[in-house]
Amino acid sequence: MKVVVADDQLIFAEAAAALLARNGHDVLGCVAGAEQVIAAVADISPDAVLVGLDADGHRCAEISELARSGLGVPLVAMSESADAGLLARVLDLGADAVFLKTEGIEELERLLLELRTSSAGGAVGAKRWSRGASAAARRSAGVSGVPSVTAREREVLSRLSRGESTSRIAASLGVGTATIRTHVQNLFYKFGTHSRLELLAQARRAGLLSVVADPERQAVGRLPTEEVANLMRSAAPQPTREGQAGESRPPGQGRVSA
Amino acid sequence: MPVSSSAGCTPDSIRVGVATAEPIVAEGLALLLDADPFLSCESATGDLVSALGLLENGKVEALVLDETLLDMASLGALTDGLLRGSSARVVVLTSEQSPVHGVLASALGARGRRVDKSTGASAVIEALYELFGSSPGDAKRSSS
Repeated sequence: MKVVVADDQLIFAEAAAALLARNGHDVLGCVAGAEQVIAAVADISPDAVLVGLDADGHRCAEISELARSGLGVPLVAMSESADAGLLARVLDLGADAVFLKTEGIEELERLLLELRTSSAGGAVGAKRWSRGASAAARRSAGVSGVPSVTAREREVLSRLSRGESTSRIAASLGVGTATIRTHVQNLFYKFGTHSRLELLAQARRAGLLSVVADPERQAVGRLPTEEVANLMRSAAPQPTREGQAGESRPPGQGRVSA
Repeated sequence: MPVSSSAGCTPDSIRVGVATAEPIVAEGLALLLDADPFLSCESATGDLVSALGLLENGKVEALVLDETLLDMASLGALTDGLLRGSSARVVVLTSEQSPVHGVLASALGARGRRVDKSTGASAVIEALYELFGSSPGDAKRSSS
């Protein structure tokens, strides 16, 4: 792949460039600042641009500027910080993927490959999280109870909860089914779940979905019996130390209907 | 993290270790240092204890160390390690936000250099050259 690396920490940019070049990628340059990146991208049409963020999230403005520039090149934000809120904000600003600098070159290359594959499959706009970034988001969810989700992911969640199919959601939002599958996969990562039903249950517990009984029944009706059983187990009141039924759900949150 | 060995180093090459929590910097910087004929990157690690061990057991003569691995307590271990190793040198990679800048300079003394991360690998190589004299080969011959 043809890539441009932009990072104020030139040591990181050069190290990344050296490894990517060693592994067969075409590194078109190491630059700093949005203007240089935009100029470089316009001249050489890379397959991806890697932009470094420091611990305070500086360079978010450049991410936004690059996304608005209409260059149409996938942007990967490489973050020093594992703050899930910052990572979600960067994606909202227009980055296509987030990666933590504490991860290795293999994970960065995997992310680049995913971006290329999803782009070739027409999944424009799908957001990608590196494994470390998604793990950070899950940890954040464990602390705050509410994972950071993008506006589009929230829309997908809402439609899933109303029992809409992947193809129907895709048609409603004007994107391909591959894009919706990617959104759902990203939500799985963030919530640490493996099925749509689990995901909806977790999202409802986190307060990201209002409790609406009937649409949920529609969704449940199309899912395998085993998933329904798992949901029933996960949603059932758990005995507390004192032997009484109790739930970790915040006050005011309803139970998942099934 | 992978350990690289220099293919093109000279017999007078300085044996260097890299210690940072960022695997891409560790592996990539090792690759870049190895490309210099007077440097041989022997080890890359993300752990400060392992890094100090490299100095103590003489496996490396110089350590390129990311400041993010350091806190006030480990600075003491670093200076002790430097005192024990007769020819050990340290290049510390720093950024503006570092909380340990003030004590770092005095802790390192003449055996250390600070290199800002906003500079490139060439600044690290230059700092290593400075620590070992005008040329690495001269420095090694003069210290033996």
